Amino acid sequence: MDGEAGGIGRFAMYALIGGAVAGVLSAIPVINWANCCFCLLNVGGAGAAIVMYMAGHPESRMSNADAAISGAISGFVAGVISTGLSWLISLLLGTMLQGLMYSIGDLAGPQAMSVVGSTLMGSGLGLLNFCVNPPLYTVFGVLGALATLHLMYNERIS
Amino acid sequence: MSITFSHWQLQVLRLLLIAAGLLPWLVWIFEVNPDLFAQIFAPLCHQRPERSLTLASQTMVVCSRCAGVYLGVATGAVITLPKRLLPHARYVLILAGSMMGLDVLTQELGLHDPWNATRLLTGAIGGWSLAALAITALSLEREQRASDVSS
Repeated sequence: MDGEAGGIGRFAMYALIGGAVAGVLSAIPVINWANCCFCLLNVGGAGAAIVMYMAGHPESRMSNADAAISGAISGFVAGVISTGLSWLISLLLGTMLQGLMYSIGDLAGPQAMSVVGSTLMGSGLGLLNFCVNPPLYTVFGVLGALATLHLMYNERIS
Repeated sequence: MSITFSHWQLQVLRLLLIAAGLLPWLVWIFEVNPDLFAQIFAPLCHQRPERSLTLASQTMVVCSRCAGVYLGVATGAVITLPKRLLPHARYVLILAGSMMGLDVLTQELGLHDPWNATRLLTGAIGGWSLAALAITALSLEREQRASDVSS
């Protein structure tokens, strides 16, 4: 038995929410260290979208393709938001750090200069990051959504 | 109505998985602006040098576990899960995840030093299980839908 009528529309909202939350969390320093563990935030966001949809529609079933597209939406949204916010943060922080460096001058030392350099480079990589990170997040979003479907809702796969 | 992937959409997904999986490896092997890609992969990996593979003094832009995951993803897009295992895919995922989890746990508890070989292998198995499941599940679903339509 197929899921409800409505195609992508019936789970798109959940995918967007999952991706948005994952994207924002992925942009927050320290919290985004979780992504070092198997892209946990991104995969988690995609998985959460599946869980939210299935919890909200207890009689519905979901196909593998539905889950894949939901995961792709979540992942892409997470990638775009995360990359954009990270770019803004590095742009802002880089500017503040640069100002600080000019203020304290020679007292900073080479290691501190390296931190500033990395932060400023992060802001300059904005466009390139947008070309690489959203597709990567999309791929892992697809994988995370399908894994969640098979792990948690194996009996509700249509 | 549920969506079904077409043959070409499935091939595009396969190519994306292969491209994503091989990206850090190709950057490493061909030394394609490693500093730039290290910055790009920084949000996705801790990149600790002592836990990363090194080739001719060039350290990979991701750690050995992530490298294994990426390689596994690329491999899983090509060498897929046998169809007869699809109903039991959850157990494949749990087994693969457990292996990786066990390696992480024993390493972090200090039971052994970070071994790049086991990190790479368990990461590869984990990545393979995900990608292989994805391709097999979507392929089989497409075949079943096509046979339902024709019958």
